[in-house]
Amino acid sequence: MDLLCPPGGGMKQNYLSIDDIMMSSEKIPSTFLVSVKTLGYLDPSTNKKDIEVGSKLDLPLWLALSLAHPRKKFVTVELTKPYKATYREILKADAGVVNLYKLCPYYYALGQQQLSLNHAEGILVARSLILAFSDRFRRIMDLSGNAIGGDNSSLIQQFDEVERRLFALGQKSLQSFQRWEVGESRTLRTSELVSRHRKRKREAVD
Amino acid sequence: MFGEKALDLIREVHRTREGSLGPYNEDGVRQVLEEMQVLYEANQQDVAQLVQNDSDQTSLTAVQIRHDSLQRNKRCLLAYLYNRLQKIRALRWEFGSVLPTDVRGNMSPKEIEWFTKYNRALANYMRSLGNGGLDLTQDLHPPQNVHIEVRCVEDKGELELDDGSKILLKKNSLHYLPRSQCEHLIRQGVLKHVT
Amino acid sequence: MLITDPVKDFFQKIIEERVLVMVAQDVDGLCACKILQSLFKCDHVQYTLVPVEDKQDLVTEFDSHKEQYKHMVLLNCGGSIDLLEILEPDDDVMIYVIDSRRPIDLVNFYCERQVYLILKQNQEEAQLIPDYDHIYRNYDSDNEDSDTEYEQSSKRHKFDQETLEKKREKRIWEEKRKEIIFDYEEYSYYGTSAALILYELAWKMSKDDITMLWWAIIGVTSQYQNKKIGREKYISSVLELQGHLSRLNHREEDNENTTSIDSIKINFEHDLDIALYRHWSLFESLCHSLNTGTTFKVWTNLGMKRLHQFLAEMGIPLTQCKQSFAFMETKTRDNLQTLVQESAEKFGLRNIKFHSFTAQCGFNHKLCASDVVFSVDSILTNTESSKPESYEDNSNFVDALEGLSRITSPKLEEGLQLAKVQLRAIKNNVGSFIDIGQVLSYGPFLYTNIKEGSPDCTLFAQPLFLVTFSHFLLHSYMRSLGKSKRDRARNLPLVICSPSPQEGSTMVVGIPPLSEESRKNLFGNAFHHASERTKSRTQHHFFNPAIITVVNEDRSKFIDALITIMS
Repeated sequence: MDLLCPPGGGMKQNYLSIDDIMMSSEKIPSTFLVSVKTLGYLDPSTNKKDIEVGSKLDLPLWLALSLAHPRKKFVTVELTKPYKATYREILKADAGVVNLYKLCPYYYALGQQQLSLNHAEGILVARSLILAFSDRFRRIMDLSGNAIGGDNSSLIQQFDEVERRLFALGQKSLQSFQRWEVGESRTLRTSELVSRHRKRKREAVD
Repeated sequence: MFGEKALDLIREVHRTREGSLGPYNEDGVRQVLEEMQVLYEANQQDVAQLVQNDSDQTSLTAVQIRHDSLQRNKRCLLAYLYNRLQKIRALRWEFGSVLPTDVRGNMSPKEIEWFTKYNRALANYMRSLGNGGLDLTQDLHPPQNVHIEVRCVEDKGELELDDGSKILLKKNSLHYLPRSQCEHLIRQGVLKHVT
Repeated sequence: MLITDPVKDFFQKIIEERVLVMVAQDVDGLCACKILQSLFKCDHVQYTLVPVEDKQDLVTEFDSHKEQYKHMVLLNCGGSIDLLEILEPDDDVMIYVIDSRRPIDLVNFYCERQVYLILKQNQEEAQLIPDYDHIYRNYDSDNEDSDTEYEQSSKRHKFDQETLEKKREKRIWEEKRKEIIFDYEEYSYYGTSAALILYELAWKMSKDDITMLWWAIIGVTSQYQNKKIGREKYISSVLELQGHLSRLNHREEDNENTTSIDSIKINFEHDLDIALYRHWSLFESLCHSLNTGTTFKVWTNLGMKRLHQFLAEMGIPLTQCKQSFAFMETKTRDNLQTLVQESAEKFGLRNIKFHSFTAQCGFNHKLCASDVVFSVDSILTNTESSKPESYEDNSNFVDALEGLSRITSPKLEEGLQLAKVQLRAIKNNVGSFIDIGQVLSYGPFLYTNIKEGSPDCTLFAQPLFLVTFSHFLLHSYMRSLGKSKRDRARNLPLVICSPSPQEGSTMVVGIPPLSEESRKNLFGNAFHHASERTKSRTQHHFFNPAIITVVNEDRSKFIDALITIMS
């Protein structure tokens, strides 16, 4: 689960990536162009046996991507809400204050994936993603490289998963730099897995 | 929607990605497999009908949806197992070849089998290196000193050193020992490196 | 037995071995331990280090490690107790003792094997020990074991003249021997700091450096600050240290370009003898120091007034005095020493300055040796483990060692804060003890009692803290008396009782009178006699013989006996 392989690479690159699987389960509003026999129970709003032409359903990305494939054209998909014009305007105004995680935990990745679905607004979404990322990145970089010890949880809560990963990486390198400065980097330490295991055990005892 | 159960497994891994190994969700895995069985059988049926009557496009969509779901479930299951194995492999390097019982208890029999095999493979490989073998789990960072100062965090009884002598590891006693002797113990949290 | 050449007979002997080091939990012992550790590090001597709190601890630790180690080093403990008797070591076990406690046990000194003492060289300390011939004597009698000879009671019944003569002679000799031993063991006191002895060992091997010297300085300072040695002894040690310092500094000067700002620098200074003033505000520091606090009688309104007068006399605005020293005006700060000294005489403050050392590292604030002593002492007596971030139960011993390891160590800073808390507790308690007249004269000594359930009970259960408190109390009490009474009281020691951590018993501590310059303490012996005479259930398990625990029911008869013995 490297940064080099962010969620969104799709099945080919990230077949076993937990993040990618999580991301691809996000729901996409879709409209069926064909009817589907016997799978009516997938649509909780009706009791019909089949899915009829024109029925609207939120499909997970993995299914939507397959069904909306230009060669099949079983469904048409809409852009999900956080990527629509209103939100793009907000991001344009000041991306730094938006709680991206609330919009979607994998905001950038999901946006990228939807580009391949050939929306008319595709190019606008792409531009907005880049702008938003570069706008926010400066702040994240600054924060992760300088903030030590303080409680940043309220800020971190607004980051999407990729941003969180970046932040954690910055913090880690800052910490190891500081440890190096005081000559502590040579100290052997209890492995993190072990100490976490012990901590939990101790809590269980208490 | 199909694949929800499988997604639950993935969520479980996601939740515990920072922590240690969670318990193997045998029930969850079984439920996903059952769902896959159902999907597979339904598809078989539909395909058999399609072959007889190729004008009916509507059931083709259903087959496609089921097929995608099957693929999705397979992917989730594999990712679930794979990510657990990654963690189990890391355990070998951190805890050593003997795992604490509660960690072991979280593993499925197959996982335990895999761990044993991995252990053996690693040991064989390490033995084959150089003359008389090379312990790869040692000196993960380049050592600065032959000896280091350590503090004992818990009562651990006697420790036998390479030269045959024994020392008593008693809580809060400080020792100056060859680094190679205590690196594992530090990683396991029995000793603490004092600088 | 005494080691004359510690390099050859001590260090070279253990260099190839695995060594067990047992350290008493006092600052001097810890400093000695730090020096020894770095010496061991130089030569890759593998060792195990265990802290020991009292005699019982010593025996337990010895027993649990004796299988694995044949060479043991005892730092600041064990010198004054018969080690062969209480430890019963196997024949191949070697015990090396570096201890500042006196008197040295005679068996330790004169035994031919296993126990080796390392003392300061060329010094009169060894001369204080009675001659061998006065204590041990071989009689012609063949069937007598030379070790237990003087206790021999069965005598052959022969009545010829010669034997009678011999008997008489023997009796005289025995009486004399008793007297000599009594004189020798009457007082307990402290000799040269263990840290200093080890530093000299390092120096002899040319392995000393500035950090080791700093530890030796702290060791010596702690002895003085905790009233273990008198001013005279302190100054002679300081002069010695100063010699080493100028030698080391001189060596540094030769290669001046290579010294970095981040290396530790030590200066010899004529510093103010007030507690932690560099890390506190001047006002607080004056209030809480033994010297100034008692002279001004800060527990009274009048005393506070006088303290304010004193500050006014110096011409330092009150706002400055009450803010952290680091933020005082630079000019005032630089002139502080002269200002204080000039006004001190007028207010009857004596010995406001003393010879001491400061260390500096990088651009951090200077650290005075006495600051470090305060800090480490308070870490050792830390009762509440208020360490939120670490769930591991750290021991005070380990923390204290860590505090000593670098002068920039964060633990040292923590210790300074703890020290302030403890000094406040001392000041408040002293004030209330004097106010309600808790200190009583029992004739041969002053007596006071700390009641169970008093607010700082947990602190008072710490022997180290209790001793510090007693000194404070004695000084303050003396100041609170009128002129005539004071002169008499100057010669009185103080006995203080405090609830012991052991259920149902009391800790009794005796400290020598103010007039006793050499800090000799006679309570060790007196306590022994009192408890023997009354058959009180007492425990003499502390290394310091003047601290014991008594079962509560036996306390009053024990104290009564003490009065009789001492009057």
